[in-house]
Amino acid sequence: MNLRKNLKKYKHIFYYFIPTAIFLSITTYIPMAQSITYSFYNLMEPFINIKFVGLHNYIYMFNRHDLNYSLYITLAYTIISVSAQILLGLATALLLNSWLFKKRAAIRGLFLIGYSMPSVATGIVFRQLFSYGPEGTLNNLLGAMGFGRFPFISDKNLAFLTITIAEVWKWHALATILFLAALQGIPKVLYEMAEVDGAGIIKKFRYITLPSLKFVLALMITLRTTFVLQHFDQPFSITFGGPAWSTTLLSAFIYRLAFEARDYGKANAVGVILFLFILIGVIFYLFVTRKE
Amino acid sequence: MKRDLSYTFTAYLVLFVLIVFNLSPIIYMIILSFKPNAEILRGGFLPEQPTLEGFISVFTRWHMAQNFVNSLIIASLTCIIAILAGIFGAYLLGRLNFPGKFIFVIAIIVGFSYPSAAILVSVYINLTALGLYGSYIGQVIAICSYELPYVIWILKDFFTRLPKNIEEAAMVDGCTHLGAFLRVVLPISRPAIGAIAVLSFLSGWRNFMFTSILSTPKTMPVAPKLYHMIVLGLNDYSGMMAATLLGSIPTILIYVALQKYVVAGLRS
Repeated sequence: MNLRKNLKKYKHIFYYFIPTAIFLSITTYIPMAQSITYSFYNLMEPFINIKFVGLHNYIYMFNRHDLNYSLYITLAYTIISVSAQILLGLATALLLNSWLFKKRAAIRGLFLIGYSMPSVATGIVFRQLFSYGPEGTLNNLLGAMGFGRFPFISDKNLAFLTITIAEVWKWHALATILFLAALQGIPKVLYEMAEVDGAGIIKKFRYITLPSLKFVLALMITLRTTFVLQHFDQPFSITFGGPAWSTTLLSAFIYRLAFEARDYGKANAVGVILFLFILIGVIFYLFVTRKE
Repeated sequence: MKRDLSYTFTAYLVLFVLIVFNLSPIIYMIILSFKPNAEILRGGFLPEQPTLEGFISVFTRWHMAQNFVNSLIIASLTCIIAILAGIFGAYLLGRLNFPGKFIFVIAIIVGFSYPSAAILVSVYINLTALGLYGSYIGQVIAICSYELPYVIWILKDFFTRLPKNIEEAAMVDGCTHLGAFLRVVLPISRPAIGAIAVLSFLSGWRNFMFTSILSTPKTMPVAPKLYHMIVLGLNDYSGMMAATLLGSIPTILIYVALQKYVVAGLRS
């Protein structure tokens, strides 16, 4: 009796739930379940002798030097570029928020151009701009200034620097926009009151600006971390993951393992490992937004 | 007064440096797309004799007209499918209460944060098995693996912010719950749905990971085509930059034109 009453009460829920569940299963959840399942099989092309291998793929991958290296550079790339883009975005937002710049929207529009371009497109622009050859204008400029030419794409360490700079260049505009919006939401009265009390720039920043930005800051750190961990398009189109495998971040690692080595089982094992890292970020994100 | 002047000067100087940092790769792209390849090989910066060679090469040498059509088809289909399939879920999460809602919310977040690279293998195997490998719809389904949960996530906040009892008012007038949603809630949500439709169009336009694996030369959109051009490395520098510029123009135009909505969307 009670059940039937409940069913009737929630009847209209099903009109919305059923189509959503069907679509999401087709596009997202079935492939996701497959991906986790495949990570326990020795699935590679040509598909012969497919069998359940338990945790073998995971153990095998963790014993491989190149996966550990890829994990290491992915974490380094994420930590360096997320902190740099947030700092640069915050600095830009503070500057644009000052009383000097009335045409904020126009300047913000300029900053949005790079952000709005497809990541492959900006990646290709960076690949050419940083190139060693005559089309690499950056090297032409450095050469003309007497610094010589640098193999920005073909040297292992410089290539890592290049993809990190490109990442910061492309995504700091997002931080700028969000911080600027938060800054403009701070009531001006607070600053005026602080000035009456004799607070200097640093004190005002420490006690008024920073606390008001805390939520956006926490949001940016968690969201950017979860997304940068799986960035692929831009770094991959700058260096193709090279030289050799030296700038192959985790997403690119899965991509190359699956479609160069055609080892789908192990590629999916790495996919699950990457997902676990992302999950940590998601949990932090939920924790941050829970309070709001 | 003097202190103010030096402060103003410094602020403008820093702003100038930031603008140069932000725009130099874009200016580089524009300049090189108008510069003949022979001049690029000699070094230097500004073109001595600007030409449209690069843009002509995009269509004659690289046959990219087809890729632009493909991008348009894939982006439009992504937008239509993600919105049509997403509005019900967004409404469900944004406005209705039911037991187990929290689990559904987590499932949506996991849905758009599960790495595309891991989904790619399963989608590749499924589409090959279904004979849809290389088709437009196959690529669109793959893109929707993250775009659909994402659309639900963004639209949900919008539905939450609508006035509380509009459905009840409509239901008093004799609508069913579904009728109230279709006849009252959807029409007043048109601006938000429009803005999100534009964003998912761009998402489809930009996708590279799925389209690079799941397309054939015939159905390949612009993004993987750009990648293939640079992998071939045939030293057509100005053609490359012209193609990149043309491939980016739709996204730049839409973003700058809809800046207000994009910013509002990001803030929510």
